[in-house]
Amino acid sequence: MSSSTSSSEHPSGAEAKAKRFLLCLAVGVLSVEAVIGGWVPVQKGRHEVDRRVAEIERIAQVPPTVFLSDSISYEVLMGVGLPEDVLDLSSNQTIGVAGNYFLLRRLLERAPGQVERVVYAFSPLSLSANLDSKNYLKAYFETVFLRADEIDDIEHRLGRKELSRAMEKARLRALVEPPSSNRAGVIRDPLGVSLRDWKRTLRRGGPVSEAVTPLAQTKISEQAGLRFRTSAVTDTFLPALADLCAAHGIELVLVTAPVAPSIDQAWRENGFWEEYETYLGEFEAGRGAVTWIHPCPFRPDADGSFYDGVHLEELSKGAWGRALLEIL
Amino acid sequence: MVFNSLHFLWFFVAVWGLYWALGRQVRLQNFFLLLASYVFYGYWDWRFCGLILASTVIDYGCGLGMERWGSEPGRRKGLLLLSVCVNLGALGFFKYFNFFVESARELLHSVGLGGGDWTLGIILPVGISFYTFQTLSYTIDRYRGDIPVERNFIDFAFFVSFFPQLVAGPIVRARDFLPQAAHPREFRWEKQAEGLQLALWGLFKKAVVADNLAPLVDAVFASEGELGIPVRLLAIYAFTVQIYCDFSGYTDIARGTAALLGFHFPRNFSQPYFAADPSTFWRRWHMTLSTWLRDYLYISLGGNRKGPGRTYINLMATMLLGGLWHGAAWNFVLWGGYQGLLLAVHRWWRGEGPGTDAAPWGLRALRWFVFFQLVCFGWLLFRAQSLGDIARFLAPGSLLSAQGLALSEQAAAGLILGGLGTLVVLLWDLALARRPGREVPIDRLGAPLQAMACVLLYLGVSLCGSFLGNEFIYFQF
Repeated sequence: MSSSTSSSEHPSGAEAKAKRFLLCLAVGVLSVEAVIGGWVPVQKGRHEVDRRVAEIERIAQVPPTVFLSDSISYEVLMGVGLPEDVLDLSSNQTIGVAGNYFLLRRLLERAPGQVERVVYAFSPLSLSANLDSKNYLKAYFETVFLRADEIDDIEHRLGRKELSRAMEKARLRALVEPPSSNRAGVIRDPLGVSLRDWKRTLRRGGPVSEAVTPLAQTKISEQAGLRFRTSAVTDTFLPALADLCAAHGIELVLVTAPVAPSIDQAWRENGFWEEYETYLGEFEAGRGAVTWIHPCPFRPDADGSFYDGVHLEELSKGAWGRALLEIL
Repeated sequence: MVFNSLHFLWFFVAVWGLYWALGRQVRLQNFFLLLASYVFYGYWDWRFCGLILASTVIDYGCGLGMERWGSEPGRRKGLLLLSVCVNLGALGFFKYFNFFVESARELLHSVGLGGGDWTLGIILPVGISFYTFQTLSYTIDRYRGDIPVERNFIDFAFFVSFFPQLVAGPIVRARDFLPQAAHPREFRWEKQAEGLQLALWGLFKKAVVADNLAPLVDAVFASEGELGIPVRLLAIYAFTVQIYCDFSGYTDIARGTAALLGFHFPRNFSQPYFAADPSTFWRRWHMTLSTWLRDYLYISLGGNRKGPGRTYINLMATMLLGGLWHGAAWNFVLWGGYQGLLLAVHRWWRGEGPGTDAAPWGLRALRWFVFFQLVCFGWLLFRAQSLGDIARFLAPGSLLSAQGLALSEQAAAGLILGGLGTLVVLLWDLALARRPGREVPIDRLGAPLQAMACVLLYLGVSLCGSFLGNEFIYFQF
């Protein structure tokens, strides 16, 4: 279709060929979009929250136990063999308690009466997450939770109009996106998951590095100086999560996730743990079907178990997974 | 509003539809595209529009002034100086002020003289480096008497701001663009087909290759601590592919969208990684910048007319300034110096060794391989955030360690998809290299096969592309 080609063909021939090409292209694109839109389930494939949403959309039989988490416990069970009676919906801190509440609500609507226990593992710092991550909120929350009831909850329960407006905008935008652009995860996700499993296999049995990187050290120092606080999102949606579980006759188990030993020590000294224990202790006491497991059943020996000061390296992740299996 | 976004898609569909609905009225066509271009540019920050308008008014006035005082060399020179000072002054202020102030402060600090923070909260207007060079080419060509004056302000403003090339080129010269703007554009099906193919191919390179490789490259360059040598090599080679697919992808989309509106933009890339020496590389990489630097800087400095020693100095000066044009940081200056050194060494060596084409196949392959490694090393200088980063990549390390390769699932999937996409790009470029002058290698296929190839590209983009908001690398320049 270059100019060189055009000049070598009879003008009307080149024009006719161009018209045929454009017609075939339009028919081809519309056909594949129709097939993909009609047959392939939505799976944006950008990250784990997209994967969770897609899993919920296509699930038929829900195991009795559902596992929710932030990134510290993200897929921690995969490395130790996910039990058949557990549905892993672990994700990250960006979506906060609100995102986990929405995930569970979607699941219970899709398959009511099948879930008996919800185990939610989180780092104490995740309770301060307030749906305000500048870098990740759009990708992990704003463009994921687009149902009318979710937007309504954000606007009315939480009183966050700017966020509900952004979600509404994303919902409208999704309506004009080509169907194929919402299904990239069909290819991308299995690739990422298989590589993750391969990486995990390669690392299994390797030595644990005791070295703490400068980045990890900085993070540990930052977090060690923090005081406990909860966000408006947590204060709104943790009770909502408990109410949702209670309404469906589900036991809610809250589990404290591991933190680096230096942070643990600092929090003992600065009163962080005390305030955290007061908050969750009162929460547990005020609700019948809530169990809180604290302190964390897995306590790493060294800061080096956290590759960036917050997230566990592979072997320690396995140990945390085995400890969680005991609870599940 | 980046090209790889739905915003741009809907914007362009609306502009395209209205534009062709206007009919063959050139004034109306140009005015409409001028308005659309300002909307496109203002979408980033409406304040940028004032700056580009000021630059447009001054250069338009300088062009008219040179016409009016055609027989007065002093006045003509004065107008040229006015245009150069205003344009380079704006570029220097917005792009380099903080850099030079900060560098001076650090220098003073290193010799024990403290200094306050004199940097300003300046926002770098998107594409200023590109449109500044574009509009400067007009006044310099006018001064040299190479092109006629443009009397129509709308046409001139349209030339400076036409949205497909506004933010990252190609740098279109007035002599190529203004004659096209002077005539009404006709809707031609061949142009539409060509434009669509180019734009789709550019989008494939950007979304499937460049943006899928970006998370890996970003993670390695951002990581702290030691990096295993295989990890460093992986990151450098991945960036080599990323920057080519990012920038040439942008150019293809720009050229494709221009073609859809009835315009022809010059090529900016011609399989640069197949080059076996720096001169050939720079004739194939960012061609519109290379020729701009050659015509307006290297030749103005004397080119190769003033003896070998001066030629080497001119080469080095041109490439150092070319490096600095890319960004206000010392690593870009270093990269420019490195490219100047390669060109100078090649120029010196070329006189004694056999010509590239005359050499046996094996020697040519070896030359290509060695030069490709030199190009990749250059990209390390370009990508590094600091001189410390470069030192970290060059430090001794373990040959077998994968240290520093913290691949997330997304980055891992991106590496595979980007790698597969790289093979497609390689095949495409090999096919183009065998048929010089072609825009796309599938043009000889029958219409249904061409369409099928494009549907596959489309599927590649929508199912394998990454759309996590990565802007084009060259937007920052």
